[in-house]
Amino acid sequence: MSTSTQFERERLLGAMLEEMVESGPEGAEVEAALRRAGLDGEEWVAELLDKERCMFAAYEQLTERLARKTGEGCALGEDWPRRVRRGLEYLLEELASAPAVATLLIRGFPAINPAARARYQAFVESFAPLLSGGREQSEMGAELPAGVELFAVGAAEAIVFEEIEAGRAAQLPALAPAILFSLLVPFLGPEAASAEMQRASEGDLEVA
Amino acid sequence: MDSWAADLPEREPQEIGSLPREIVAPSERERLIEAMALSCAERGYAATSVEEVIARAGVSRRGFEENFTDKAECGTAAVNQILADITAAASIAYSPEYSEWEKILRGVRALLELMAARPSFASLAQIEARQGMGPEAYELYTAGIRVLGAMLDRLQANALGGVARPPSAIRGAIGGAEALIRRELLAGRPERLPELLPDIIYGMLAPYLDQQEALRYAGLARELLNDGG
Repeated sequence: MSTSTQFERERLLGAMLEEMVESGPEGAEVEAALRRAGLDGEEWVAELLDKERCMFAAYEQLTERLARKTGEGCALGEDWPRRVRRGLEYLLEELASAPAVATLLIRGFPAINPAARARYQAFVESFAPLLSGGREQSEMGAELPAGVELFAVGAAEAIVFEEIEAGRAAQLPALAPAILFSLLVPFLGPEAASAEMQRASEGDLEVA
Repeated sequence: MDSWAADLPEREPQEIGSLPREIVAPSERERLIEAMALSCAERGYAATSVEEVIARAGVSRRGFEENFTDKAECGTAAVNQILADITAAASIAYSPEYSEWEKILRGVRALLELMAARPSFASLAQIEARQGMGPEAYELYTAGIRVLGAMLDRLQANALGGVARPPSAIRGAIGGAEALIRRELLAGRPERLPELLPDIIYGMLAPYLDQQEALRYAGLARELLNDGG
């Protein structure tokens, strides 16, 4: 796929995402997304004329962007707890910047059908490898249960989900320290996780 | 609790024993709820129709209308039933002879076994009610979470002292368990749910105990699994 085609594809999927946000997945139309993206008759578009396929591709683009932003945040931390914290902060900022998109992410799109709900679960699970460094950080690393990474991710997801569902997506960044506690505690234990939460509340990264 | 009776179709026939059929046979309402749960697990709530539910249940349209006003009411009844059963299963494990930690251990085990025995209802409660159905079902789901949260909240009194825990730690502890459960349900492996016990126990107790102690309870959970005790 050429760079210009890739760019056009991203534009179409971005437009489809906007369509889903504005009209809901039921009301969204590929034709409207094409008009919104300023595209007409391009050969490559044929593969996305099927509405469900286009919606899934648009969702894929959204989740890839969120995963990329999280990864960018993680890269800024100088040690594992701070990598987790930075990644979380970047993700929460991203969700807070577009509450309607956040609602589509957790509720609107997954409501389409079981495949969409499975896609959401896969997105949630995709964050688990980002936490694997916690085993090396933990004094109990070798003894930690196999599912501890997904458990930690699920803990954070449940809190984020409820906030978005309650219409408080814009306030998510303020919850970063509390969510950080749930992400770290299975690896570090309550005392160390609490200390990291405290540091995050005080914003020590900005001071340093 | 009478909602346990509706579970009969997914249970082993020998549990019915020698009771007369008119006593143990599920009512039309129970069959409709069962059919709704099965259809939702297979096709999702949105794609499930009343026609499909009545055909699967072997109940007439009139029979459906005598029990429910519409699909939404039947769906909500199905969610209500599994949440009531989950709460009942967890509560049964709350015997005064156990410590608060053991109560959680036994309560979670009962919950996982219940969901493994009734995978369609488990999917309904864990996946469909949360993301696939309307606000009423979601409200029931959150009410179920609040009940489980209240059970976990009792751990605070015996928790490791001198640690500031955010209020959201309880929701996180339940959410972690849910993520593991959903993974198995969506992968079509409900029979593996009871095996999650050690992982879930560790994750749920980790905010409250030092790691050694949380791991000790995870070990106890493993023993419980292996012994079947």
